[in-house]
Amino acid sequence: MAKLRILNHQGDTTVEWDTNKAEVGDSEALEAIREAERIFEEHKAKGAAAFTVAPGKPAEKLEKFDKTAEQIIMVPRVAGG
Amino acid sequence: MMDSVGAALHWELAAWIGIAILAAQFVAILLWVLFGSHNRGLTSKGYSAQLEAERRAEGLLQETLSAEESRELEHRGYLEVRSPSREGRVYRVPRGRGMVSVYEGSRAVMSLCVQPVEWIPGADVVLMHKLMIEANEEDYLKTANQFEPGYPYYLRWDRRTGRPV
Repeated sequence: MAKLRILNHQGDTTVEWDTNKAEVGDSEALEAIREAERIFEEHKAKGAAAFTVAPGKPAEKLEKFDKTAEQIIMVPRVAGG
Repeated sequence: MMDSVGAALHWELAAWIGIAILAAQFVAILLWVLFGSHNRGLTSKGYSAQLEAERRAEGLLQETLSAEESRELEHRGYLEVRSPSREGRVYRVPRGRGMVSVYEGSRAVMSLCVQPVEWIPGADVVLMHKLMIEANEEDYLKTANQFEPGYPYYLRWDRRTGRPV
């Protein structure tokens, strides 16, 4: 299962989708991907940054939603304190 | 005769004023008890929601860190994140809220302050720093306010040795 995790006041909010099912055109999986992409764009528009995270690898910045990513973490907009 | 009637009216008026004051105090206490209890309930709910958020954030942080990074954070109280662009530079991200210290070699070179614009749990803040440094160091440094190393602890630092004097 792939995950989009949005860091927020609840810790995080997670949206999951099954990439294998999506590959074979499963409508539920495709709908989950569309929902994840919508949430991704919504938070990007608010200034959030997105990163792909995989075990044992450094994080990578993500500009566009990647449905093949294992895990995407979005952090809220930051400012100098 | 008229004087005694006037005095009686005076005392009656004073008694009514006293009763009104007592009644107002009673109503105030009643409101405090009712709304005070209600507020305590909300605070307690808010506190447990915050604890749950901290627990979730800690889980995500532990999932993301390697075993060695988790141990380091637990024992030292900070996470060292290596600069992807500058050899020998490390960022020490504190577990609690606070400034990130930047070291080159064993020398502190600056302190950085970067915060999310909305409240997120402390473990999420640690993760936020790690992700931004690893994947977006240049923007991270542009966003951060930079201070002398050791700020705001008012230590005087020798910039050559990176040690307090």
